[in-house]
Amino acid sequence: MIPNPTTTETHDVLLCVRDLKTHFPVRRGLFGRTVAHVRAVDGVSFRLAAGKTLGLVGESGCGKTTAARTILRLIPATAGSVRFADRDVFDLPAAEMRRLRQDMQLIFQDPYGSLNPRMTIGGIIGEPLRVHGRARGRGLQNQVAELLDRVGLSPAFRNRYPHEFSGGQRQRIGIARALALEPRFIICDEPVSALDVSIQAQILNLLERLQKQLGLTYLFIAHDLAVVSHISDDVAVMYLGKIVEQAPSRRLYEKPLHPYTKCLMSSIPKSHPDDVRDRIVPRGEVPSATNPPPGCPFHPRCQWMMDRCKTGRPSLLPLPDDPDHAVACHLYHEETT
Amino acid sequence: MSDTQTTRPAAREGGEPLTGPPRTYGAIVWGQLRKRASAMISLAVIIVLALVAILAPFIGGEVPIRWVQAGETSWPIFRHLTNSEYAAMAGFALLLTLPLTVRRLRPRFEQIGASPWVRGVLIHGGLWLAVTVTLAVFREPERRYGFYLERAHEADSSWFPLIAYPRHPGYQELEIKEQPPSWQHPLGTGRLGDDILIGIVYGARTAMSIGFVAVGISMTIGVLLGALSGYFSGWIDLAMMRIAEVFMLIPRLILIIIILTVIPTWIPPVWAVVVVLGITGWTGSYRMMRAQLLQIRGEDYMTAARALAIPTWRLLVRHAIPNGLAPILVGAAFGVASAVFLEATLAFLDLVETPSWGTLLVDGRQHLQDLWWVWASAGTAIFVTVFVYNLLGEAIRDAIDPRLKV
Repeated sequence: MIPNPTTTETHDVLLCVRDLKTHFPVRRGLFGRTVAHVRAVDGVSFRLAAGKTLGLVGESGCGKTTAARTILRLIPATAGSVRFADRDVFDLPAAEMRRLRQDMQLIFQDPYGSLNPRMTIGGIIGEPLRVHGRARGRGLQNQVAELLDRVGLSPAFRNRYPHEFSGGQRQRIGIARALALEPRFIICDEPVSALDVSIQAQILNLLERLQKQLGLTYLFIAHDLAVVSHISDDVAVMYLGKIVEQAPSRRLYEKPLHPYTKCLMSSIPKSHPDDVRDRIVPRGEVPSATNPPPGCPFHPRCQWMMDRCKTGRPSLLPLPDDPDHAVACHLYHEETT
Repeated sequence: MSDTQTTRPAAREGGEPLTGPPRTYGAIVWGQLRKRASAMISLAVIIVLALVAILAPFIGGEVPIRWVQAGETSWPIFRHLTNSEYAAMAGFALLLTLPLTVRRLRPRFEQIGASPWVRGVLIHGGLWLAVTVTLAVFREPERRYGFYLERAHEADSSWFPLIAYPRHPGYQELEIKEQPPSWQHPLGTGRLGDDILIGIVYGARTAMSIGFVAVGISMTIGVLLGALSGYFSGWIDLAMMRIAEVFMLIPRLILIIIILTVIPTWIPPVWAVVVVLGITGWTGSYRMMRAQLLQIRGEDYMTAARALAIPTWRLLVRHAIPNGLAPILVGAAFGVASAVFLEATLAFLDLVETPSWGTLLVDGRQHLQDLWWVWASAGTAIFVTVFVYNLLGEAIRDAIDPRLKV
């Protein structure tokens, strides 16, 4: 059973991720014996409707980025399936995959490392067009100029090198590169985390404007709930490789249910100094993804922990009174399975 | 992509337009190099050495550049140059003229999105090739040695090379053997009446070609294998690494000695040495490139390229290798120095008979006290060459410092 807040619109589901797992082997010794697995992504499922934005939040190391790269088949998946536009991404032959890649793109967190320092901006943005035979010569130059213009940069920047730009400008260049092949779906992997707050707003507005203009679908990854709830239609909260709660962003913001989500919510700074901030601080540290705790992965740190949490792993189920709001916590679900 | 507002004013939300010309990584490194006097001096010395090597027949030899006899003007030297001399001259002319043309053409080519370098090489390469092929085709068979020098008095006017003296043993005058430096023979003469300056000039050819070609071969092999090894890792890497380790264990000098004794006589020993140096010396650049790739392949721009379905070869050639190449250049400079040194060693051991600084050194060694100008000239030439390449290598190493703002 797939818990899913967007099931009401199954007809235009663009991306369907089912029980995705990415485990990295930990090798030891002379013969590289696999002694353990890092369960970076451990059973993630969601659906994403065309034209919508799903926010994916969680702290560092919870598997957000790994999930994103696995979905794009940049990292081999251990189990599960990803269907994009009704095609099984993990099952496509190389040539088909090459075509499909034009439809799904990636925007990176680090605006410094994501642009090849030896290529000009025009080269970086024009390369996908050239490689996929979309344009050549003057036509290519025109398209590059158009893309630069679209992300708010001067086409005169074409012959410059990445190191000549600021972080915000570089992020725009990265966005232009992702847009070059006219994708339908873009994974934004913490696109604003590395930027100044004033620049963050600019980039978020740009992403929103592009979504409106081009009808893009976003998977928006961040660790900042405020940013995510601003741009997303739905938000999924990840903890230790699993989604623990998923809901429309406003509802999640107003009524977080999972204890982990509550912790995250309480960590958002209040905008008014008189607002009382009741911080819920989880106990201890994040457990190792190599050896996650049995039962609920959050139970060692949870202040509402019950006996049941130590053994039974809660599944992500919609609330009885709100089918769009799913949570994986024993507090909200009666004894099941 | 059609609904975009292409006619937005120049001031965009994405920042002010930059001024000044775009700064490539090469331009930044060059800027660092230019600040350093030792780098500039060694570069100048290397260019002079290269010029000397390529223009050797114009500096010392018996064939006149211009010859006027009975009112008829001819340019004999162009008929006497060999094919490889023409090729070297064409290549060097290309190297010298290309950057200037590229700088001039850049604005035009950038507008249509073509690389000025590719076009420049095509245009210039074609031009120089045409010139040299024409000259080579109209070449007359070589006359016997001493022809022009014997008839110098018959000419109405003639331009001889700087040192008008036969360079081939057997045609040199034995009566002027073992002379100390003089105006006619600035570096003196050797035991067979050979001019030492001519020996140094032609020895520069051997040194330069051994250095450049051997390092060129080994760098090409090393960079390509290293890139493949580091990018794919896994068993490919494992296998290549083991092969590299085997190559590292081969004693080069002994291998060269063995090869030189078994190769057929029609293969010039110098080229055998060059090839052996090339195919045994790649492990350094291989290991460096491999290490670079292990780091580079995890970079976001590589992931971006893979997400864009950029073909693997292009990924390596356009994204990975250019970013890992800088440290290899340092190794290349040091490699040239050590190849020059090794060649001198081989000549010293009497293994290569090509005229080279090493052979001069051997000649001088037997008369350490009375023929000091022989070994001093050759030793100085070797020392200076090895020294400037080391200086240049160090300067490049400092210039590409990762702390450099790029």
